[in-house]
Amino acid sequence: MRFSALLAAGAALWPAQQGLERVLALPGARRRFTGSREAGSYAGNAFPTSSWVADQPLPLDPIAWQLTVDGAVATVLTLRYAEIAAFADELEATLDCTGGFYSTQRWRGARIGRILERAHVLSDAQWVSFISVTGYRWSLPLAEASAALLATHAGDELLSHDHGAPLRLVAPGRRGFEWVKWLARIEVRTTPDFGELVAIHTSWLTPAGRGQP
Amino acid sequence: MTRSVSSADRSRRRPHETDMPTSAANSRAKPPRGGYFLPPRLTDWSLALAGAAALVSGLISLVSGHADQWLVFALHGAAGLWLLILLWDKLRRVLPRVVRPSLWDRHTVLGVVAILMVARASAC
Repeated sequence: MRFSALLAAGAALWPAQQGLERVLALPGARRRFTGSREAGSYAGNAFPTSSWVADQPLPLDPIAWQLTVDGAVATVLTLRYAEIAAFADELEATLDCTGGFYSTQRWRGARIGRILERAHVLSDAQWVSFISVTGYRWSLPLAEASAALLATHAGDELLSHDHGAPLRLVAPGRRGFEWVKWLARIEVRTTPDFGELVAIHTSWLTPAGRGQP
Repeated sequence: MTRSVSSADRSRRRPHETDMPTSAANSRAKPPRGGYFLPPRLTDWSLALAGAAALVSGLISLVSGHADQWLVFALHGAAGLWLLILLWDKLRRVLPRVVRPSLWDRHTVLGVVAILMVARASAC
């Protein structure tokens, strides 16, 4: 009986705490449901920078930079930065970092679905893997990836190096560590990529991750 | 495991000490005023269960960001509150032994570390 009361008390206390925070306008009431606090929304590159591990690549030259789209596609693409930026698609999405902040921005760049159309994704494709110059990578289901964005701008500002310039993934509903920075390659896959669970912890050890040319 | 005790040892024994092994003595220590909220063993296992719930929900929350995944975070929050309540009952039972070095045994340090970890996690 007491054990049941304990479970009930814990389950009831949590929403009660949330309600109390709202009524008393405590700082905790302004947290998102994930517990993250707002930082730098709609302010371009002003929101905090963070890395899942410790990737520290050298700044990338957007003039020389290229994005490769390959894998389960009929047409392998090699896109320059200017071609991506020319799409000028926009997406309002919230970056929610597991480090404790969230930031909502109007991101500008290229809808991934439009890029995948150009690549003519094969019928058995199911996943899309986004790969950074450091080797860091994360994949999304095909349908979800098609709705995501390759961002060149945060608001009206060109993406800064620390925020993943020249190109980063914007994946609505995903936590910040899944928004891959410094994108270099998109691989369309027919199977899930379990190796990414290792890659996100070891990318900082690669030469690019350590800031070597 | 018991050890043999001489009559000389027994005569020097302070009033709170017994011939029983320390862990057994601890389990028969006088309960605090008002008694235990839960039986001690149930408290300990509940702490383990609540800790596991907090760990699992915390790991899942790392890959949860959609509004319709709020339940993961609610469970994580509730698990934290369960930990606090259970910690209160646990400390009522063990604090008299923790603050008296003569009652320590080989499990004491491990137990204190575990309590501190739970308290720290609950405060996050």
